[in-house]
Amino acid sequence: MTEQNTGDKHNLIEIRNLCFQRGERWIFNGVDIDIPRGKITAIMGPSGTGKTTLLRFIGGQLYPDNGSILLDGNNIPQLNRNDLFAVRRKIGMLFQSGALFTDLTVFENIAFPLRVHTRLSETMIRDVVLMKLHAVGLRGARDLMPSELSGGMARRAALARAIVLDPQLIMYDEPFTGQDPISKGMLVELIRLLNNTLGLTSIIVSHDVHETASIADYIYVIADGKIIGRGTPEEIMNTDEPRVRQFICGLADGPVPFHYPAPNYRQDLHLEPVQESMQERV
Amino acid sequence: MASLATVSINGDTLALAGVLDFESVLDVDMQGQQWLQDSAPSQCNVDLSKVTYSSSAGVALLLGWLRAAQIKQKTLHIQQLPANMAALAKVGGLDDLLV
Repeated sequence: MTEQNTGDKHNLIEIRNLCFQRGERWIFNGVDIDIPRGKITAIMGPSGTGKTTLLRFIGGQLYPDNGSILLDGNNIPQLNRNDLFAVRRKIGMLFQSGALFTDLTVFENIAFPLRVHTRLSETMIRDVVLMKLHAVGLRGARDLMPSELSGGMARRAALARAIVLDPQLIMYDEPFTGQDPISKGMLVELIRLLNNTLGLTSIIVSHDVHETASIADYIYVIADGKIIGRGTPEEIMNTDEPRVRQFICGLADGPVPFHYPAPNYRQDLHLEPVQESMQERV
Repeated sequence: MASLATVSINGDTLALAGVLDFESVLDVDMQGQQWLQDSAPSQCNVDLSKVTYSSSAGVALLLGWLRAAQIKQKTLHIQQLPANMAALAKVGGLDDLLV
């Protein structure tokens, strides 16, 4: 590996001074995050605050402008191609879209990583795929095509594929978005089962407050490039920090304003003469 | 590269040791299948007390051996299933078969 830093054994991932800018806008500006082993850590925050971008840094698909991302002591942005691929085999990812291969059956979707990354016999592949499909309740749906699955079933099939190589870390990108209440409940139970039984380290990126708070051990809330809140679900739910409260309680207005910055309304309607300082919020 | 998993046979017991990852199971599978086919008695055991880690492929390995024993009308008893394998078996709904 290019760089080894044993760091804190308690944490699987340690992110330090993460900085990333797009144009003039800071997506992350000096962010520190710890992901403890065997726990469920949630990264929450309003849409567009860089939550998915953070997962892409951990997976080595994007490089930050500054800062380190240590996974098991390996600094992801500095790994060479081979080492990065080796690290990625330890990571399972559940994408927001599910991202199943549309022209493969459910069975073949789950078998795909095994065919690519291992030399297992067909019999062993079948056994492992059936075990994972059974875990997500879809053993009977193995011959269906992705187009024949409901949204919740597709998400569960994608989860089976994400765990088929026994990852150490699993990253869930908005797992509950667009799911009905039953499906949300099933996903919550599955995430909990995988975490409790297999001891997987889990990161959930989400803005679904209720579901996420019900399973997370620790929550980070990010906004405006910074960590604006951190703590156990109970601490986050009871915080006095106004921006975190606005997010958790789903208030339309607050520190994050309802109105995008705009000129003075009366001036905009030409009812008052336009003055120099136009960027006044309504 | 030396395999991470090893097999040793003593009478009616096959002892597995080491790490059963997606690669090492390939090395030990054939030895187990051969033993079950030829010299294993009708009541035989697989001892897992020296397995330090198992992937899901390790569980698939055991399933394959259970099938091989069944074909030969032998009974394979699984002994000392490690906690990590028991957890994988539980998630995969195989508690009653392996645990």
